[in-house]
Amino acid sequence: MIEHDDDLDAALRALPRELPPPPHVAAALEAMNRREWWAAARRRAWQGAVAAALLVAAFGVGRATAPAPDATASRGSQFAFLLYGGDTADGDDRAAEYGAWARDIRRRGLFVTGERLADTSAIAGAPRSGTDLVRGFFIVEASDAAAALELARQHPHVQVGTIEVRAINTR
Amino acid sequence: MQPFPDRVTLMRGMPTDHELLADFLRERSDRAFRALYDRHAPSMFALAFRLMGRRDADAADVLQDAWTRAWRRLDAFRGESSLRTWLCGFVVNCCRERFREPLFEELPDRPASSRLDVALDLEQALALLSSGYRAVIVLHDVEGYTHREIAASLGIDEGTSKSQLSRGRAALRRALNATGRDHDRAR
Repeated sequence: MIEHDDDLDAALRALPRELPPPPHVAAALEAMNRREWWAAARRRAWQGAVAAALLVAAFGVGRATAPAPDATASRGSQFAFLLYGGDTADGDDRAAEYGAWARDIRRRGLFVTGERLADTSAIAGAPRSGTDLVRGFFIVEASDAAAALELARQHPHVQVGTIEVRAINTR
Repeated sequence: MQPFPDRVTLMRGMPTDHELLADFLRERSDRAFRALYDRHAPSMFALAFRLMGRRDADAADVLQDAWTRAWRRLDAFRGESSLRTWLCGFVVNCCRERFREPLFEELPDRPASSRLDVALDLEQALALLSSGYRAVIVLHDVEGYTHREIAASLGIDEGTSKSQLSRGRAALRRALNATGRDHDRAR
């Protein structure tokens, strides 16, 4: 006989809170889990394939529509160094110094070339007013005019003469 | 919630629910699935068994349905309650959908019927209560839910939960005592 609430409470609390479920439920749920795993794996495979296809397509479209690379963009600008003045008697010695300067610039990954010019020249067209003779020139790659001027200041010719720096207009 | 101690005792080295869940969500491994099932299905089944009035087949059906629904929403589990509480919420919902009568319609107390002339134990007496009484008694007195949690689970007011618990207990007590008297007379 249960006459008091306390007795009923105790009896209810004493009921087992776990009961073994029938085995067929676990089997059915495990089968469901496996089916869903395979379904998810198939979805992932499809998604991966679609993503890969989209990536390849996007790459192809990008290749087809991207502007051609600007050959000069990554190389900076080119400048002409026009060398004036300086005694021509010790030209061979200076040539060695100038060569060393050019090799130093090449080691920085920049383009440079140059030549010494002969002391005589012939004029074609209208006569020019200046009397200074260009003794040699260099074509030098630099990121901008300031960098080019800095390279010119490091050139050994500035010890004996003048270097005029002029951008080469490639456009 | 859970004024009653949780029956799951984690031994040293046993993975926690969160570890098993993370493992399961990562790999959907049978091992993690089985570990979580073995840990929580007995509680879910016991709750379903009582809420469904000791109908074995219905309880198994509820367990399978509740587990399937919960498993498909695992990503939504935020750990705000224990995993067991969260899973049992699915059991209660599945049971509610299967109750064959409105939960809290004004019903006469049924335990005084002649069906109680046979020997009853507490479980059987519970099974013969109306589903509304049974649900509140099982959730409150057996499972340890608060009235607020019962109200949220069953979609009723807290006041309704309290009144149904009081009336349900009275009906349960009458059923058990009537049976006891029957037994005494038979001796």
